[in-house]
Amino acid sequence: MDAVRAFAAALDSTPEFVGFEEYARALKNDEEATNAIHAYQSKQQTLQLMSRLNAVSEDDLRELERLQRAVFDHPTISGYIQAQDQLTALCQASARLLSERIGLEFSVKRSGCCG
Amino acid sequence: MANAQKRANQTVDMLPAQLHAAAEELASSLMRAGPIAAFYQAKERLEADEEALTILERLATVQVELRGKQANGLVTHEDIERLRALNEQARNNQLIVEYVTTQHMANDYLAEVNQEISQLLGIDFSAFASAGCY
Repeated sequence: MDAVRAFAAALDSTPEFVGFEEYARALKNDEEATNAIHAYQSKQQTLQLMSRLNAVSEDDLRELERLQRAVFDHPTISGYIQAQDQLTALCQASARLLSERIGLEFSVKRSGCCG
Repeated sequence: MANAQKRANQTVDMLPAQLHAAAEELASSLMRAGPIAAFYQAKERLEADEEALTILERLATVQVELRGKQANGLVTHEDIERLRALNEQARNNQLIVEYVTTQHMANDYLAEVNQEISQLLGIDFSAFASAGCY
């Protein structure tokens, strides 16, 4: 449908989409940022397992907090999150407009999410 | 994500002009598309039929009553029978069946459109656009 392609093209040319793509690319190529994410995720998974055994110490929690701060304070990551948030708002606003016009929910996330 | 949701509410009328126009054009196209048109035709037929509307109204009333009773463990065999009978009536009503079927088909079609947008953009559009996570 031409209207679908035109809509996608219009979204593709917005500063929000361009910004998101730039940050997604930057994040992919930023070894320090991806290492920080992996370190945080790894520690988080370890602590989830340890919490089942009631074996999480205060030091572990402090370390997790430190790794979390390292993730969210990282300029590439925080920029990516901000860009993602802005694109999300734009996509949601577009979908809301479409839903209003057609009287049906335009975008529904059908599969489960958040793992 | 809550921030994004709040911003989406605020920005629906502030979409860039080109995107706004494209969304309006897409909405018009969708309304002319077979599955959406079929749904609205079925909806119109349903809304014009007293019998079908009465069944749906009774069904909704009984469901609400049962939910209230369920919370207090007061559901009786008669309640369940009443619900079953109404469900049966709904399943046997051609207009209700058509309405439900065409609604599913319309939703499936919209999911395909979302999928096409995702493929064109290289992101999961429906995940970004729905108030979930991505």
